Amino acid sequence: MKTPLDPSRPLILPLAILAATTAGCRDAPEPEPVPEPAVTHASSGAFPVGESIALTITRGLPEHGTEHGIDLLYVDPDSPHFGTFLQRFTDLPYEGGEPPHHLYYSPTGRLYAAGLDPRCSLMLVDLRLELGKPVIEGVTCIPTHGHVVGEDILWRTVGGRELMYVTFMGGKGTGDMLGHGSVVAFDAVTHEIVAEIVDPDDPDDPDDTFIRYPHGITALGDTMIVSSTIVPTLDISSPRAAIGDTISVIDMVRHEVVETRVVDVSPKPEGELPSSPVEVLFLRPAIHPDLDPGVLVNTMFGGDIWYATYDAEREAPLGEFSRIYTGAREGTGVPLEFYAYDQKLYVSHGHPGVVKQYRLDRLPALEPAGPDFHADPGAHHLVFFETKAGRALMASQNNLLDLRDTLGMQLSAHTLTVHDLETGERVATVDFRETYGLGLANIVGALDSEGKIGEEWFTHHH
Amino acid sequence: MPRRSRSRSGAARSRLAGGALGLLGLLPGLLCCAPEPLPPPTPLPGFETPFYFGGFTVPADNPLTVEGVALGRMLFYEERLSADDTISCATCHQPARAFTDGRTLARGIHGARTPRNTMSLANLLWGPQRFFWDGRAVDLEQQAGQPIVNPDEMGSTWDEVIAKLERAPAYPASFEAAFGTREITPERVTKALASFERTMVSTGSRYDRYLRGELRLDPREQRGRELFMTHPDAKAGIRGANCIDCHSQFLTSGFAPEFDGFQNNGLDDDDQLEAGLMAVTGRSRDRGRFKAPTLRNIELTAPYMHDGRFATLEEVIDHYSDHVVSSSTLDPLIREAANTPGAPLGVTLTHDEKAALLAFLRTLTDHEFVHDPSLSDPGA
Repeated sequence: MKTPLDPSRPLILPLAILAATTAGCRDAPEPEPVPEPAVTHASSGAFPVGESIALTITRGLPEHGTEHGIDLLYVDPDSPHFGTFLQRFTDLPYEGGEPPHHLYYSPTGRLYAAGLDPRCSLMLVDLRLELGKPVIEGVTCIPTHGHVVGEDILWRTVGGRELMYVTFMGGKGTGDMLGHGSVVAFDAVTHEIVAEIVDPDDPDDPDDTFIRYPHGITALGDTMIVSSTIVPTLDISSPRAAIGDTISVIDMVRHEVVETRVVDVSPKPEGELPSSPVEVLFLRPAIHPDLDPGVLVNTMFGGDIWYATYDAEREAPLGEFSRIYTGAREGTGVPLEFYAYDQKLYVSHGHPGVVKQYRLDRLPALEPAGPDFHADPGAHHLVFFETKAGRALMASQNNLLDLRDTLGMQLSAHTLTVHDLETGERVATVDFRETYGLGLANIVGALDSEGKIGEEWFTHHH
Repeated sequence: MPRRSRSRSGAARSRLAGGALGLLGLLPGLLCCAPEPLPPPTPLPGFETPFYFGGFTVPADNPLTVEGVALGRMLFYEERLSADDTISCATCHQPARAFTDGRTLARGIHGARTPRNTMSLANLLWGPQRFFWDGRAVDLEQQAGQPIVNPDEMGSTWDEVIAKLERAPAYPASFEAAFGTREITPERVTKALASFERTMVSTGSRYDRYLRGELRLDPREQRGRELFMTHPDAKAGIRGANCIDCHSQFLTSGFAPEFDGFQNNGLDDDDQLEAGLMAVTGRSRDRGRFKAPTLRNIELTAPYMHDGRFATLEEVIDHYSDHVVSSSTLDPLIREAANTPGAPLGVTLTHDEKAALLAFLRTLTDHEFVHDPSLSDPGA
C-alpha cells in the first residue's frame, strides 16, 4: 500500500523529544479504571521448568491511567497462566514519557532496552533467577552523552574489542532540537563510548555520504548497514527532510560512513512520501549456509521489500536495490521486522496485521514457506518458541508505537496473537488494552519450556 | 536466616509420659503428649542464579531446604558412608580441585582403582540431567547413592551406613530437622546429598564476571572465547575451535535434552571404543558416547576425559586440533568441523589459537567457588 498520508498534515506524535510531556500532549479522557493486571506467582519451591515466558514492554495508556512497564508474561496457550504476568516491573528510571522501545540480549546474556524517551535512551535490565524464578530486579539508564531515541542494538568484536553499536534516531539532540541521528559504538563491557558516527547530510553535495535518523542495523564482517527511517518527532510537514529513503554503509574498523545509497530511486508522483527504510537484514552464511551476501530492506512507508547484492571485493560493495516485494500489489503495508528462524524468514507487516514466511535457502527470492499468519493490526515483533507439549508457536506483538489510526491504517491493536507455526492457525489472543488497559510495545523470549534463553532470541532482527 | 526451634523429639516425650503414668495413664498420656507437628523445613533463602543459566528442576519430593542442604553437607564429608570409614564423597570430590581428586582414575576403599576419572561437581542443576560419565543415574538422588554401595568405591551396604549414622550423635537430630523424623533411610541420605550438590553453583570465575560486565577479557582470552563459541566454516572463512557444539555457551556443560549432552569425541577407533552411553541405552549408536562435562574450573580438574588419559589441557586441545580418531559413532559435528578444507579430522588450530583457547579456558576457574566456606567440610 502506498503511503495514504496527507503530507501537509504534520504528524506530531508523542515520540522522543516530546516524550517528556506526552501525557499532556494527548487529549486524554478521564482514566477508565481497569483491574490491576493479574500477576501469577508459582507456589513455594523452585520455579517449575516447562512454562514458556516472554519479556514484554507495556505502554501505560493515558485513558486508563496505567504505567509503562517491562514485564514477564506467560505465553504458552496450553498453560493455565497464559496471558498473565509473572511480574510487572514499573519502577522505571523515569516517570511518564515514552516506554522503553526494543529489548535485546547481548552475547553475554545481559538484557538491554533501547529507549525512545530522551531521558533514558539506553537501559540495562537486571534480570535474575530466584530459586529458578525469573525476576526483573531493576532497570538502570546507561549514559548516552546526549545521543537520544535509541532504536536497534548490535554487538560485534572489532579489533579485539567487544563493541555494542546502537542506532540513535535522534542523534545528539539537545533541548527541542534533534540531531540528524547517530550510530554510537559503546564498549560492550564498560559502556564507555568508543566511537560516535555522526555524518550529517550535505544537500549541496550529490556525492555526499551521510546517516540520517538511523534505525535498522545489520552487519557482515567489518561492514555495518543502517537504514534511515524518519525524524523521531514524526513531524513530516517537510517530508523530504523528515523521512529517510537511504541505506548507509559503515566501515566498522574506521567507524566511518563509506557509502549512502537511495533504496527506491524511481520517480515519485507528487505527494508520495519517501520510502522510509526501517529494518535491514544482511543475508549471510550465518543465517543460511547457501546464502550469498546481500541486504534486505523493509520500507515502512513504501510498503515494499528491497534487495541489493553485496560483494566486499567490489569498489562499491553494495549493488543497486531492486524491489522484491510490492506491498500495494499484495495488499499489505508497513513491513517492519525480519526474523530468520528455523529455515524460514518471517516478515511482519503492520497493515493489515500479517506475518509472511519464506524459505531461507531461496533468498533473495521470496518463495513462500507456508501460509500467512493473520495477526492483528500493527503486527510487529515476534517471538518463536516450543511449548512443553511440543507445539512450535509464534507470538506476534501487534502495535506500532501506539500510532493507532494516524497513518490512515489501524496499527495499534495492542494484542498478542499466538500462531501455530505448522498449521498457521491462530490459537490464542490476549487483548492488552481491553484486559489490562495497557499497550503492548515489544516482546522477546525470556525462558523457553526447557528453562533456557532461546538461542534465536539473541538475534533480534539483524 | 529464620531457623526453626529445636524442641525435644515427640518420641522422647512419649517415653517420659508412659513411664510416669503407668499402664493406666498410658493412653491419655500419649494423647495429650502426641508429637507436635514440626514446622516444615526452611525453604532455601537467597538462592539466586544468573538468568543466562536458565531455569532448573528440583524434584517435588526433595525441595531445597536449609536443613536438607546442611545435612547433605555433613554427609558429603562423612567417612562413615564407606565400609571401613576411610572414604567420603569428598575423598574423590575435593573442593580445592574443583571437587575432583587429581588422579587419572578414581580410587575406592583399599586403593581399588575404578574405571573412571572423577567428574567435577559444579552447576549440577543445569546441563544433562543424567549423571556419571555414562549417564546411568537419572537424577542426583540416584547418583548420590551408587558410590556408597559400589564395592570398588565406598564398598558399604545401606544397613551398615544407617546403623553407623544412627549411632552418630549429630545425625538423628539432623535427619529430623530435614525430614521431620529421626528415621534414617537410604532415600533420605541420597536426598540430602543431592540437595547439597544442587547448591554447588559456580558463578565467580573471570568468565562470570565478564558476563556480568564487571571486567573485560584480555585480547587473547577474548580470541579464545570466540574460538570456543564458533563452529568453523572453511567455505566461509570462519575459524573456530568447535567447543560450543558440545559445551554450552554460559554453563560450558553439555546440552540438557535427553542424551544430547553425550558425545563420542574421537578418542578411540571402533576397536577400542568403550560402551559409554550404550551401557545404559543398549543402542549401538551410543557406543563411545560419554557425558560432556562442565568446563567450569577445568584448569583445576586434570587429568582429563572419562579415563583421565590426558594430563594437561594442552593435550586436550591438541587432541581436538590434530588427533581426532574416526569411528562409527564419532559425533557428526566433530567429524565435519574443519578450519582447513580437505584437512584430516580435527580443527587444526594454530599455535596462537591454541594459546588463546587455553587462556579462555583458564578464565573459567572460580576460586571463590572452590574456597566457598558453605561447601567445605562442616567438621573441619
